[in-house]
Amino acid sequence: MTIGLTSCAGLGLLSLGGPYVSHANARADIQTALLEAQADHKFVLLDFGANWCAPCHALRALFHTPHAASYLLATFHLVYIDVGNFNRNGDVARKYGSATWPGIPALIVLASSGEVIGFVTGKALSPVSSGDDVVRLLSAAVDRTASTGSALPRPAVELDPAQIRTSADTLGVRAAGESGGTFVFKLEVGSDSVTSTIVSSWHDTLLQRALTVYDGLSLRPKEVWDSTDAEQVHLTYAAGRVRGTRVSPNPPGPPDTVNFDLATDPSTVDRRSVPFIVPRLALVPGTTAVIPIFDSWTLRTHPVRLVTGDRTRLALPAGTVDAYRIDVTGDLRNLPQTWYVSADLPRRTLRSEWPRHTVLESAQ
Amino acid sequence: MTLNEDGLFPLLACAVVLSVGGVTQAGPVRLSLATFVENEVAVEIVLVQDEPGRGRLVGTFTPLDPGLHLYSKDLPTHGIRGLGRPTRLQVVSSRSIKAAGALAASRPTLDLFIRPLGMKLPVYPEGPVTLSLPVSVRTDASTAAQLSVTYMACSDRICHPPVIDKRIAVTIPPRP
Repeated sequence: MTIGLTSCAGLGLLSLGGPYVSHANARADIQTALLEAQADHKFVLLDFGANWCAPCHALRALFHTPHAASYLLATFHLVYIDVGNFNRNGDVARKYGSATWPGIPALIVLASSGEVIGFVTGKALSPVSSGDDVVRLLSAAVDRTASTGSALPRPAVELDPAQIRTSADTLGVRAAGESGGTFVFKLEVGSDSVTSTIVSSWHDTLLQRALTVYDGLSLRPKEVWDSTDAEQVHLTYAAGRVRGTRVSPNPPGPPDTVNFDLATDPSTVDRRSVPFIVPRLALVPGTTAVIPIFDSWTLRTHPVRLVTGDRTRLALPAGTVDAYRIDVTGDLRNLPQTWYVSADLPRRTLRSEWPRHTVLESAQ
Repeated sequence: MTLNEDGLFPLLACAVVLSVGGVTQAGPVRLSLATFVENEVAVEIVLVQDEPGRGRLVGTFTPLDPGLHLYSKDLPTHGIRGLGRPTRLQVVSSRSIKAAGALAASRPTLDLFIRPLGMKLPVYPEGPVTLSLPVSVRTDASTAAQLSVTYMACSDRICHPPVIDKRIAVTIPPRP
């Protein structure tokens, strides 16, 4: 259902039936709104919700406060998208970065080109208690010159410079007790950049090939290419923004392509940077680092905690070795993870335990 | 075999971890039937046998984030005027346990005022709530049972996906 915010009645504020229409064609509504936005130079605001959701009604009521209503009317074409019991329009939510994760309401801001330029979801909605809050949050989302922090690049976390060297780790993979995979992580150190490559496979099937180029000085990611059967991604990180394209299958239809240009903290690293960062931490037992990690699945940045444990003994197929344990936790889908890296130099990744009984382990 | 969301490795595990067993104490026999975490709520279901033939099915629902609440067990199936979803624990089918009373909650509800709509919804205060269902228990043989849980966790700013009539298969062993 697309609404031009021409009247409060049009928003159905006091109708408990609500604006989320089960039989609406969300994709067609979005396309219509984008065409209207191109004509009148506005943005498109996608509102994922459901009529049974009290917070969705509460947010919508804030849309009707005078300041917010006039701002929304002047700035957006609004599209309400019914998620049902999270069993409706899931393909649309996935296209726009798993929009309904972790819940509803969820607001996605699109440029008239269809590019995703802002999210107001989950905890970002916590401080919203007035129409002014709505205006402030959405204004930040449409400000494409903004970043969320200092423009000066800095390392996201303290790394050990001695570990930034050309190297390769090959790990065997077991999933639910079944062996048959490999995970290869290579690092190449150039004159002004560092390049990491992840190649993972299961038996003879290539599952992922990801390449990340880091700035040689700040060790922040500059560009990422990733290909799996679930998505093909190209990202660039610069000046406190992450821009990119994600292509994901949408059977039986053609693949979904979404472009995005989102503000993010300058210290943000990419989801694929975890195997780069963890073995290269300046390992100090008992220390905790929190780093912002951008996830191209959710198109959002999530805080991730790295906790370095004490030196321990780790049993591997080739024998028992000294290792440091690093616990990685946060709201990314493949977390929590527990990593073990060698205490001896040169440092190597020895073992990594992932959700769903998946274990990556060095054979050496 | 499917791939996980990152396309990295095969996904073989199921979402619900069921644990059966664990007779641990004298007096009332406490039997853990199921534990799982789904949509920001940790759920543990236990069969407490107070005496031969009588017991309670006890479900503890613990929202994972502060600020989240669960709705009253007495909410209609489709909420009040469509809003909210009840918290429920039911026996769907079993030859060994049958409901023998009304579902009870460990905590009273409070009214959550939805100001924009001028209406109230009964919710449990933040934190865990335990539902208890009196049951009759056959103890002579091990039998399968199917349970059902329903709940939804919301805060004043977000609703997580509801869990509606989630079926859980368990095995009730004979009491020694």
